[in-house]
Amino acid sequence: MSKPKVGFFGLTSCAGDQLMVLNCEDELLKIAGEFEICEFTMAISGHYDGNLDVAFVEGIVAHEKDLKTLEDVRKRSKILVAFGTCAAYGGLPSMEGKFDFNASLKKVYGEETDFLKKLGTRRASPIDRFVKVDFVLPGCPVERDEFLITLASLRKGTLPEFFRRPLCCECKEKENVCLITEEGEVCCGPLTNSGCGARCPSLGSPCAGCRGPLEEIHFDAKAKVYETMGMPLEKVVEKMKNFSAPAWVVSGMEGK
Amino acid sequence: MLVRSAPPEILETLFSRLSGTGKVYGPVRQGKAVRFLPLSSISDAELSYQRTVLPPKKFFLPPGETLLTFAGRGEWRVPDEEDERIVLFGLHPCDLHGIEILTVFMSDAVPDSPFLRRREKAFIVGLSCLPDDKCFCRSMGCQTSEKGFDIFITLLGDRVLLRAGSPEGYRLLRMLDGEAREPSREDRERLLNFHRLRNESFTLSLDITDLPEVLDLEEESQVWEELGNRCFTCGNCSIVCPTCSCFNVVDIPSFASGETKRVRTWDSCLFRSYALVAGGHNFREKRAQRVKNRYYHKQKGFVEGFGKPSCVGCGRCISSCPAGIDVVSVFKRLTEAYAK
Repeated sequence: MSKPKVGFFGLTSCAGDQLMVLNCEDELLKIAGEFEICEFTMAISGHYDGNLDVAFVEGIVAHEKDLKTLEDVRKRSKILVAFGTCAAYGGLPSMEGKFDFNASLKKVYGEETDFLKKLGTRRASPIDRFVKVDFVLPGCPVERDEFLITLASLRKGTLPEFFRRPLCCECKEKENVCLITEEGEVCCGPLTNSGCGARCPSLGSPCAGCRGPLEEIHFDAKAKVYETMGMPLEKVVEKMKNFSAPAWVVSGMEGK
Repeated sequence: MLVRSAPPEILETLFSRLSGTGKVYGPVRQGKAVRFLPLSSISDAELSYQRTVLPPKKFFLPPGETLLTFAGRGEWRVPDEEDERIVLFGLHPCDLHGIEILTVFMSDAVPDSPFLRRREKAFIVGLSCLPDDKCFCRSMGCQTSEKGFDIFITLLGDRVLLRAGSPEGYRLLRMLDGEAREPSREDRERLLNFHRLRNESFTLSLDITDLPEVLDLEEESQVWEELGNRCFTCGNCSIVCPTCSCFNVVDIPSFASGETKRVRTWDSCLFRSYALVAGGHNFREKRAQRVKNRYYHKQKGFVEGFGKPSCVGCGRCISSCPAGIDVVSVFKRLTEAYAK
């Protein structure tokens, strides 16, 4: 079997997911040995325009160049992976979904925004708004273990099946006391994808929702809980929207 | 079987005997949480604890357990059996019932050998307790235990009663004869007083006499719809339930070794993925259906299959629900609707 051809692409992002790949120091040589890494925005200079077996795409579409890159990568790739919460759900850059786009532009860049028009600056969006996504690896950044499991599966000619439960399950398996019921914190655990081992709540910090919303989220229940805790509902929505604003818009929850 | 009375210091002797037979786990307080953790001495244990976050099922059905490892076609191996005996110290009657229910269930049809092997190897020491406002074990008939322990300890102030529940427990109690004696008349009175105090301390109760029949009649009740609107289906109640044992099995390949582990993960019938089958059909698509299913399983399905509910009244689902749902009020509302 020939080595699968893979590429790592960074659209507008902090490049944290690509950095996570480079942080797999113990496995890097094995990765390089078993895959042909054709492109890597952060680690390889030069350009490759042949076909790929797998493309890992990090970041959001924030301007026309992002979109061109994304569409080009899609055309050349058999499997396209939304790599990290930005690509999958919009992530932190899409937080602006909570504000008025043009007003935000002016606030940041002042009155001279013509150059932004030339760049084709647009409202930040996750990649599934433009192209078909075959697989999602959420996380801010992506979990190292989940990335390596994905590579191992790809090497076997398949994609892994991650069992996504509400984060609460991993939190309870760690025997943490609930930060919602016991501490009155705004914790996004019940709405968020598991897979991080409830890292933040295990350290006493409520879940920020960085792994994005579960396939089925239950907004009304969440609303009721926080009402009884005497917390304004907007606070919860705002917190969830930090990492996944566009996903909430699609779910029809934006106005609530 | 044998009952002995002794001063509380006997627990130290008992502990040192037990630690000679295996690793001892007991209730340890860490901040607001109490967890069953390894004990290095009896003073590590919080004997007056109310409830641990996770029930002792974690010892028999550990989350994320590797069932087998395979590398290629036809090559597979099961993990080495754990040699070490474990001693579970300080389990309340509800948890003893929980283990018994799980054992019956896991022995049925296709016996679950990893579970049963671990259960067989465990030495269990029960511990008396007084209820808080979330305990309703008495309504489930689980406030005392007649089996499922090797030794049961009842704390009676400056005396403790030790009761043997198995031949092994009997032998161990016999070894403590130097420090323990036949319960005196006063010990017996104290025990009766303790039972009275315990039974009078319950503030939460639920009459389950006709519940399975009521459930038959209330399949279409509005209660389920309302509950479905309130419940996150986050799975907290299933994870902390002493008798919830549903699991999912996933294959996790390792990039480093090339081997794949087949792992079982705790699952819940509350999850949408639970009833998802080939072709994308979901036979419990709606949240209300899933919540209802969990309640029916505990108080109807299990009764039909095994003669009693699979709820022990430990109160963990009440204390861990972020939506503030409590099982007792749910069933009470149903029975009220039925009575109207």
